[in-house]
Amino acid sequence: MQEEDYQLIDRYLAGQLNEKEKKTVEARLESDPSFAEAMQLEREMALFLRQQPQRERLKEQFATLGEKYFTEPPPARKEVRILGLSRFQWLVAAGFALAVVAGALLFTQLQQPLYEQYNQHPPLALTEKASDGVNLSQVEQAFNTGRYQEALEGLDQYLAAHPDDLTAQLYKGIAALELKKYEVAIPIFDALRQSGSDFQDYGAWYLALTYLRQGDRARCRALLQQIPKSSELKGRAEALLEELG
Amino acid sequence: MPTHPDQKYVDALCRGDNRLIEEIYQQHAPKVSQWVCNNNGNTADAQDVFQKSLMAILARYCNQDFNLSCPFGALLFSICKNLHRKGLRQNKQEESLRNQVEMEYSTTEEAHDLLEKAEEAVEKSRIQACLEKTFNQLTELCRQALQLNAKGHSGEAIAEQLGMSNRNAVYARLHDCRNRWRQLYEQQCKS
Repeated sequence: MQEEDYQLIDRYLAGQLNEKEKKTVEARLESDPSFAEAMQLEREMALFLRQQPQRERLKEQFATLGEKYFTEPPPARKEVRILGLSRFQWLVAAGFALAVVAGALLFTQLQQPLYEQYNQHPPLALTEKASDGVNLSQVEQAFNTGRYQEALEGLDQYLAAHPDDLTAQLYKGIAALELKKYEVAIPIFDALRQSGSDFQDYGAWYLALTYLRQGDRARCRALLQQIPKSSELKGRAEALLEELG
Repeated sequence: MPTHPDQKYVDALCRGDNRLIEEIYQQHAPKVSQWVCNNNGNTADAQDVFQKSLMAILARYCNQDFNLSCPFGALLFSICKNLHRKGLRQNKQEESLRNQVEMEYSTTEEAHDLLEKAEEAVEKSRIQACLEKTFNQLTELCRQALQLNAKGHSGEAIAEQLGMSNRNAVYARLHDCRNRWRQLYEQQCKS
C-alpha cells in the first residue's frame, strides 16, 4: 500500500470523492484484496475512535456491576478420605512423612525467597511517549538495570505531567515495590487492579507480589485467584499459587 | 424480521443507560456465572467473559442500523460461550467442552444463526480490543489529536488546544500518528 492509497481511503470515508473517483475506488475494493483490507482497518479505526468515550464509561460501570453480581460462591470443602491402614503401615507412612517434611524444610531453606523467583519485570519502554523535559531513555535504562530509586524519581517527574499514563503508573509501582516502599506501591497496584483497563491483571499480579514480599500469603493467594484464565499472567499466577500451597 | 422487544438492551449499551445495563447484569450474570463455573472456569473468568461479551455487542451492533431479532439473553449467552471456549482453547482444555457445546446446540437454523452472530461479534471485538491496546501505546499527543479529530474539531481548534503551531502541523501529526497506530496494529494484531 502506498501513501496515496491511504489518502484516497481517507477521502473516500470522509465522503470527499466525486462520483467517478468513488466508482474507481469501489471497483478496486472488489479486485484488490490488500486495498480492501486497508479500507476495512481504516473503518475499524474510525469506529474505535467514535466509540471510545462510551467504552470508557461502560468499563467503569461494568467494574462496579461486576463486583455486585459476580460474587464468589463459598468454597466447596474437600472430602478427606482416611484410608484403612494397619499399625505397621501407619508407622511406615509416618516415617516417610517425617522424611518428606525434613527434606522439604531443607529444600526451602536452600531456595531463594519466593518473591525473588517471581519478580522478573517486563522491560520498561517509554521513549515512544512525549517527554516534556524528562529524559525518558535515562529513566528506562535506570529501571531496566535495577536502579529503581533513579527510575522512581524520573517516573514521578513524568507522571506529574501525565497523571493518566497507566504504563508509567505500573512501573512506578514496580520501582516502589523493589525499594520496599509499600505505602507507595499498594495504592497504585490497587487502582490499576480496579481500572477495568488492559492493566488490571498486572495490577492484581503486582499487588499479590507486594503482599507476598510483605509475608501476607493469604492476601497474595486471594489476589492470584482473581486473575482470569484468559490473562497472559494466568500461568505465573497458577505456578505461584501452587508454591504457596 | 421484526424487531425483538429486547432491542432496548442493545440501545441501552450504545447510549449508556445505567438502569437497563444493571438489569442486564441482574438477569443474566447468574446464569453465565454458573455455566462458566461448570465448564472449567471460576467466577473471575465469568465476570471477564461477561464484560467482554457486552463490549463485543457494543462493537458489533452500535455502529449501524441494527434490529435485534432474538432475545438479548440468547445473543449474550452465545457470545459468552464462544469467548469462554476461545479462552479455554488457549489453555488447551477445550476439547471436552467443545463436544459438549456442540451437542447442546441443535442444528436448527436459529441456533446456527446465533452461533454465526456470536462469532462475528467476537471477531469484531477482538479487532477493537487490539486497536485499543495499540492506541494506548501511542504518545499522549497522538491520542489527544486523534480523539479531537474524531470528534470533528477543526485543524485550527486542535492546534490551539494542543499548543501546536498551526493546522498544517496538526495534519502532519495526525498523519504520523495514524501511520504509527497502523504499524503497531500490523505488528501485534494481525491474525
